[in-house]
Amino acid sequence: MDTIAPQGPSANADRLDGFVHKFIKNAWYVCAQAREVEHAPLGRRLLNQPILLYRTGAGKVVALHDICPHRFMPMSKGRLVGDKIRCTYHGSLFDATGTCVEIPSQDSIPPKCFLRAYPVVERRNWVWIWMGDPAKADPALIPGENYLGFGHEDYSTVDHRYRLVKGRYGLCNENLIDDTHISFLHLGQFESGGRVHTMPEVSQEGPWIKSRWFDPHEKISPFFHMLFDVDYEIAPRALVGHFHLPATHVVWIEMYNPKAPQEKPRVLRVALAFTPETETTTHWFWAESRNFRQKDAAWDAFASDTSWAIQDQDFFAIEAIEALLQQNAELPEEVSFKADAGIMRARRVMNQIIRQEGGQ
Amino acid sequence: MSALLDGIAQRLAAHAQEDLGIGAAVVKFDAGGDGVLVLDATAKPAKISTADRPADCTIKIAAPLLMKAVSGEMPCGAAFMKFVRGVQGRPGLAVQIQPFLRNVAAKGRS
Repeated sequence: MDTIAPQGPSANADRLDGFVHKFIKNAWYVCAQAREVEHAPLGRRLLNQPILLYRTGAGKVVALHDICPHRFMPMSKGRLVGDKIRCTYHGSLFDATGTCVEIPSQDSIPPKCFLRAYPVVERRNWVWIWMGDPAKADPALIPGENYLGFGHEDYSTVDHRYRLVKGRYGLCNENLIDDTHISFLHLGQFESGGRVHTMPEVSQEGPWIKSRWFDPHEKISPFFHMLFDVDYEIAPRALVGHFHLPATHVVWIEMYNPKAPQEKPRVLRVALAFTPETETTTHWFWAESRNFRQKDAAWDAFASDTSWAIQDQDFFAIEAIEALLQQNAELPEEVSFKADAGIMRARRVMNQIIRQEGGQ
Repeated sequence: MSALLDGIAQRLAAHAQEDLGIGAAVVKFDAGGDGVLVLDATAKPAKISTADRPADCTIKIAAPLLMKAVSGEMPCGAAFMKFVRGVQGRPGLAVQIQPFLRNVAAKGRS
């Protein structure tokens, strides 16, 4: 009779290492949509740390540790006094650098009374934060805004949205890298189901893991007829995904005119950023742009609604897997397929970086 | 022609004075055995009819699923993405008609 070896929580924890949930600290993460950060305190948990965000009167975004060092009151419950933040519990006042400038009950300020300040960079739709060593926070490491599709003269932004997903950021990353789920989880929307039989080309260039899938004779779905405003029954189509470690993705669809394939394709470009809230929850930032039907409100609404409806299907899968992982069930040995080459490469690289950082 | 399609036609006809957003074009919803629904914006005000005629864009969708979009039960764009089974003619008109349907749905709820 076959037997199953008993497994405790530690055995599962080892197995889950593939589903990256530890944090890479020395990296830029999106912490907020620019429109979310106002001249008012915004508290957000990032990589398990409570962070206070606000915008100064001059419009500069400030990111500080969201814990008053006096009695650990969340500073985001406080109020702004000009560009300074006052703790709502005992009134300690900190400036935009995190320096304590006033303690109402005494004249002296202890040297340890400060809030850690985090490097932040605002780039059009998104605000980026560096949670690791500030000395390594080089803004040049942030993916270019044209690359993300923001502000590119050939593209107009459709929309950008945010959701907190109940799943680890590794699951979110793998959902984006994985092409073959499209034929099932999103059946009928992207294409007719044939794509699962072809393999993407996968490569790595610096911090980017790239995949490109191309079908010269794709059967175009009714959804794509509407979305791309084309009447082709069969057309060359590409799906390109670039993963910028550890948590930013740029994915685009190229729709070619079958009668003139040398022409510039119609492109729908999606940028996604996944920032761990905790080990098992993720801030999901999405933005979309396109190089056709620019600044057309009807297409903006259609593209935004449908893209978000598709992501709802992804949330369904990610959150179902996360819920199962947290049940501490006996898991079978994970099996990977040939088409998982991009995912396996990403896991290897990310786990390597996590080990180098000390596995926080 | 089904009672459901007739009900959708009446709902849209109540807003025929509004801009359909499709210019001077004709959009037809083909609900198979349930019949068709034609939105003719070449006339002012637009004519909403269940009598079949040629159209610049024909959208194949089942009547109960079209109702989901027109009633606001589902976001219009998501309903088109999931339930439209074919688009003939000018596919862009299937997107341009959606703000009108959204508007009808919003006013129906208010």
